[in-house]
Amino acid sequence: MQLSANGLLRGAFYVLLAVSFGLIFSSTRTFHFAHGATFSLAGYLFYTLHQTLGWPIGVALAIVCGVGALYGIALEMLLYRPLRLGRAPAFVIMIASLSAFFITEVFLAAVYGDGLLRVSHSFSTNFVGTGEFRFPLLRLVIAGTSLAALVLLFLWLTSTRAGVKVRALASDPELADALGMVSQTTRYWVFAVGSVMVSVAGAFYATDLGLVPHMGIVALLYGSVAAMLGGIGSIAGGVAGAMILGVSMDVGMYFISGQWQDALAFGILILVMLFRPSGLFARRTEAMEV
Amino acid sequence: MGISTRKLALAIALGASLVLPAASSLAQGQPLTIGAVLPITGTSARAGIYWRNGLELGVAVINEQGGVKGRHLMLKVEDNASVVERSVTAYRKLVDTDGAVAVMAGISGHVLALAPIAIDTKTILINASGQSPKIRTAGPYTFTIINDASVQAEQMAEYVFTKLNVPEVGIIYTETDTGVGPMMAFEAAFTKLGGKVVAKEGHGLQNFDLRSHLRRIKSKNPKVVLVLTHQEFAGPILQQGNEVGLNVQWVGLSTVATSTLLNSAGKLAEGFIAILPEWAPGNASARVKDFVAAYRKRFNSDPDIYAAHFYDAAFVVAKAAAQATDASPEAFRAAMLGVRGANAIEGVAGRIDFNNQGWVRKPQEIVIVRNGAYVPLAKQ
Repeated sequence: MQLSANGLLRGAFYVLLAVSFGLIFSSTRTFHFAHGATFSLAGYLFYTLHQTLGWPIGVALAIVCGVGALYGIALEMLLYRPLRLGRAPAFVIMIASLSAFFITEVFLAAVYGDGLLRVSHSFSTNFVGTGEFRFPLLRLVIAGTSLAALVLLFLWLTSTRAGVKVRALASDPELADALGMVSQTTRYWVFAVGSVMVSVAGAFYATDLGLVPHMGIVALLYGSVAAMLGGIGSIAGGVAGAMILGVSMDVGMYFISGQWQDALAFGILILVMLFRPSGLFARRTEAMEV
Repeated sequence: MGISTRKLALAIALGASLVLPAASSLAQGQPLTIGAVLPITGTSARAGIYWRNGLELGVAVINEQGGVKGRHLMLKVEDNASVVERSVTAYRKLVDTDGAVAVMAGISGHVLALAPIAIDTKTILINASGQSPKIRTAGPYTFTIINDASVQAEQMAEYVFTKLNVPEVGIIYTETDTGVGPMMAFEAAFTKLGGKVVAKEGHGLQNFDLRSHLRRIKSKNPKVVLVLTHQEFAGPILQQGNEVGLNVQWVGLSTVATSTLLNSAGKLAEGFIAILPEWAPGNASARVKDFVAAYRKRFNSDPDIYAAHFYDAAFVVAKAAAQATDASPEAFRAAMLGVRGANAIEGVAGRIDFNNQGWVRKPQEIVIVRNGAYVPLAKQ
């Protein structure tokens, strides 16, 4: 029971990664490697604002989200869109995104150094519960925030004009473009919303585990694995994939060994892909060019 | 159109100067070049900065005292970015281009990668922080001035079993030479005493979320857990151990007993027991006090044990260079092996008295963290 509870809490963190990654990929068909860079950038910025400058956590988080959104929009505006207009193949856009990812990480290493940095907060030192069911307050805050983010995302996608257009884009980008249902602004919204979600995750990661320049790979790996597990393009799938991944990893590592953490994540993915290539909860779709 | 003989000779000379390795600075009447391959950037950068500082200070003190037979030491530090491949490139550059007579290095994996090159190039490689027991047999040109993990592990095993009276322990270790060698050495020594390692969890260098590892250890109910990781992991391990309810006596070797642990774990480091050479910033020895004062003055911070080791490394090279009978690599190596017995060096990190294989066995002490500092608990 305790393992499952811890696994669900781990999964709650992955939800932010999976849903944000899935939103961007399904709507724009861009394998957004630089999503990991947004995650790292947000973590380090949160560290600077809250830990170094002492700004209140709410203010720091709001700025981090804003900067994350701008970073995502900038990538679409200055990198992906020009490449698409130049009829670059999807592979080239992916490599460009990977380049942006590495450049950002090197920049962060140059500015902050390579040592482990950590945001200290009472969330990470206070606990809730007793005995075997004693959890750090931070992990419960992460779970609560993930839930709130999902609700807000759902409301945005279903109740706002921009959200409806994003759903149309995700459903069939070629048709949506051909019918003029969506504009470039819609794509900016996608990157903004996805980047805000992953920025929140980056700030949490900085407080929970600490910052190292290569931490973005964590967001990328687990976010993409969870999104693919549940089904790209499905919010419910992303949530389910994240939870399944979290619980499976916690339980699996307990009985096998912690050394196999990453292998376990990809092993689960391969198993699911063999039987459900679209993911557990996605509609069967045609193969997409990546 | 033919080429003149003179031009041809010049071309050959230029080509030769580019191709042939630089002559060792031992043979020339010029500053004596010593090199260091250190992690100034990368995951081990925090440690690397201390090492560089210690070495710089040692070289500065030696030069202030007149150098080696009137020749100044020139230190060249190359950054390996905490990557083994870069250590290899840096080492070759120091030897082939800069003419270094000796190169200092740390981190077991790096030292083991450099040892074969030290043999090929016949240059002295001084290991001042790597503690894998494998380094003992790394080759005739590799010298270690720090107790390796076997020495430390044996003593820690005895302390845990006989003084703490704990027959079952858990181990969390980094899956590199820094962790694996000591883990095996400890397990062998502890088992020999009659104890049992009930849980062993290895982790990679990229992963700072070790909760699952710690939960597995907790499930086996050890009273003591040995931390055999790179130092940047020690703080997160204590914090995450507290989070998962792993209430144990934490112990470690000198690899983790640094200021990094104290800074990152804060109050959770209180009571952490480690084994260190007989050295601490508060040590009453005048030699250590002078070193600490000089370090503080130059770098505006306190040194750690590894800064002390690298400081001593400079003096080892200087002594050997002064006593080498000629400029040949063989003579320099023989002079290094001559740093023993009556000719040993009383370093700030302990006595450097090489055995026939070029490693040391320094007296050690058990220390415990009290009020944010390491204080001696018992002499071993």
